[in-house]
Amino acid sequence: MRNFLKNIGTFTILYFGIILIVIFSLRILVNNSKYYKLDSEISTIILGHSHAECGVNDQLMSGTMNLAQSGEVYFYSYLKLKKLLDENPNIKRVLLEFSNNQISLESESGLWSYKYLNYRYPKYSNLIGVRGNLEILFYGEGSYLSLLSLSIQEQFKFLESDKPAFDFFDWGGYLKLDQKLHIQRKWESWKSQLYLIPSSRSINDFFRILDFCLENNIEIIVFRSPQHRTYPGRINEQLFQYYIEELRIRNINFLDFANLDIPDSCFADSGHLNEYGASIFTNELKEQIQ
Amino acid sequence: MLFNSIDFAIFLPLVFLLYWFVFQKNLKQQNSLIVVASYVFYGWWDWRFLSLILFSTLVDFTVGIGLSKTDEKRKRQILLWTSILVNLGFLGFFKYYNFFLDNFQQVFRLFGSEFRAGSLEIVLPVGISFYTFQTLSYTIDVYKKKLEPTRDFIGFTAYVSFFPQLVAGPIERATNLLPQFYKSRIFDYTKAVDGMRQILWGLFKKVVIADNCAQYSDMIFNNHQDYSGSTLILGAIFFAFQIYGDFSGYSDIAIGTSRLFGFDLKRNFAFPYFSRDIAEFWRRWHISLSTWFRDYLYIPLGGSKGSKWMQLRNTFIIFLVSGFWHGANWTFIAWGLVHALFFVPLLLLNRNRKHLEIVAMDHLFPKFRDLIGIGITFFLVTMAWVFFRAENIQHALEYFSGFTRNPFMLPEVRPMLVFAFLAFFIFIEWLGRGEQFAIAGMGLKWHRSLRWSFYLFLALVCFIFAGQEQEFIYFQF
Repeated sequence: MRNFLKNIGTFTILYFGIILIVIFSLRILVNNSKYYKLDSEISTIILGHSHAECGVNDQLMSGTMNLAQSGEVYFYSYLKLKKLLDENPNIKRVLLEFSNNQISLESESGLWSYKYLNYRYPKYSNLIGVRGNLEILFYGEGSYLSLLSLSIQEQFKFLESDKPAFDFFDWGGYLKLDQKLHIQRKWESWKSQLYLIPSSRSINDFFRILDFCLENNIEIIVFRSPQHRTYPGRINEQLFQYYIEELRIRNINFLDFANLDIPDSCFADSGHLNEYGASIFTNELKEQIQ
Repeated sequence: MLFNSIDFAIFLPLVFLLYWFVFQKNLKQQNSLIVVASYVFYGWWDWRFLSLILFSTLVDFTVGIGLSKTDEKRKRQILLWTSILVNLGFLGFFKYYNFFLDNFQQVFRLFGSEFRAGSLEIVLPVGISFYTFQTLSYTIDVYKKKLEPTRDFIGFTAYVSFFPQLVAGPIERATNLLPQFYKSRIFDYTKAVDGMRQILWGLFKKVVIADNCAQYSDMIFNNHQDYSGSTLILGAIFFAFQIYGDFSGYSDIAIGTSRLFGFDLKRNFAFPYFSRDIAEFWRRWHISLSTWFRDYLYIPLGGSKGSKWMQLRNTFIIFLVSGFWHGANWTFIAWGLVHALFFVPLLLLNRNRKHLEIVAMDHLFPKFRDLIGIGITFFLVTMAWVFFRAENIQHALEYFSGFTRNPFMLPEVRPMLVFAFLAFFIFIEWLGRGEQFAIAGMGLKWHRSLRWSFYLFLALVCFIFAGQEQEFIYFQF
């Protein structure tokens, strides 16, 4: 028995030792500055979720890069921002989407659900610290080992590709929607119930981004994209306004386009602008910033 | 609890240490620990269904005691049928209720009348088909006086719920496993190391072969209308390896884990894809189920005695029942039927017991005739898997009809890494085909550092190249 345990112990130490070496070596290689350099003309980046992803056409805003992505929670936006600011001193301004559905408990599925973890964790694993990993290990759905394994595979492929990280890992970008307005009138009751509860996690991550920008003298502008009058996500407006007040106290610019007077033909659905709507909104946003 | 999860990686060493260090001196305590560990293992998935296992255990234990107290034929028959009805009743309700209801409704509709009964939202208890058959084997063997009924309730409960094989087999016979709970167990280094090797190989089959193939077979089966015939054939091949890696991998982990605790389980797979005909395939695939059906259904029906007509009838019955055992869907019945049809020519020509020995034993390469046999058998089995994988019969037929779309063009899906893993896997399986599992004898004579490097390599591949985590397919059965 002693021999057996000794051999198993040695094997386990060797095994996990090699895995740790692989993980840390990849981390060092993947974190190399050269993969995170943006075009030197880029001075503004846009972060957020699908509303910003579909709403801001960065081709119409010179010097701007839209890196918002559908379903992205602030946890990942923060990691992305931190790395990009570290490697790109030319970034002077951040436009951050802040919308009703980003402060609800329901939004946390973007952080802990099996579906989103499998999709997002490998994209950002090299940027997630020990604490973040422990949180995902304990609160995340599905197997953490499986996430590590997926990340290693992705990182091998990334190094082989030699593409910039934001391109290979698909860190977001403007998404053109062609469809005409499809009205989503209400949600299932479970979703509505979760929606009314604020997510302290998401809110903390949001303010972490603001603090980080302020500490680094980066101009931060928070905005809310246009919403159709039928958008069901408005049900937590009272709660949302509470945090807007918080922004005012902190003296942070908040541009609210939720009620922007634009026709129905601008919307793909209640929460997202189509291509036509995006062009109108982008120009409006540009004007307001200037 | 999944074998390939962190939960199990913590659970197993904990139970192992308690078993050999804390409860080593007392057999009853060791068996009690197995019961507790098994109930925790099962309850991790859904504790509510523990009551089902416990009830089944109580019924069969009581029936066993009852059978030992009477020689009266009628009373013994009543006891036997009580056990059969209770066990198959649970199985029938949880697994087949909605299937029969839907089909009754369709038949009534066909004759222009309406049969109204609401279908139920039934959750299928994991492993019910496996432990039901295991407990049934006990009652039937006691009834047939092949086995002395047990009076050791803890031992019997441990036999029914033994966690390594509780949810997906191998389906153990009481005659093999139950007596092992009566004997004191001493730690055997060689057995434990062998068990670890089998666990490692089982994990490789599951997480590298099955889970990687699953991604592509799912993609191709779910979007079959978008792919050429050659890709559809490749999708079926991926599924063939997925299901083999998944199920035989599970069996390997189960057998290996049992060996860590001093138990020997029945072999469940014997390199079935190296079979030279369908009969040989069925002697090598899911052996614990096919021998169960052979002993408790085929032989009581008359087996291969009697006229050719009777043999054919029995063959069709056993394949159809075997198909239906897998799930409440016509696709499984079709799968069983197709295999029966593949089997018929061998039966009629008396060639169903032709290949009993291991292919090309003591040779590195098979004879050309054997190679052709292996190829044809694999092709037939793979085609039958299309029914098994399809959502319904319509899906299967559409999949087959897609074979005619550019069958000779290069498949659109060509995952080179998966091909490399499959080539490595087939190579190792071929080299180890004379053993209980592929790497059982591999490297035993190598230098320790080389042997360890090989095991480390396999373990690292399991970690780094694991496919997206998938539940074991046979959990649903």
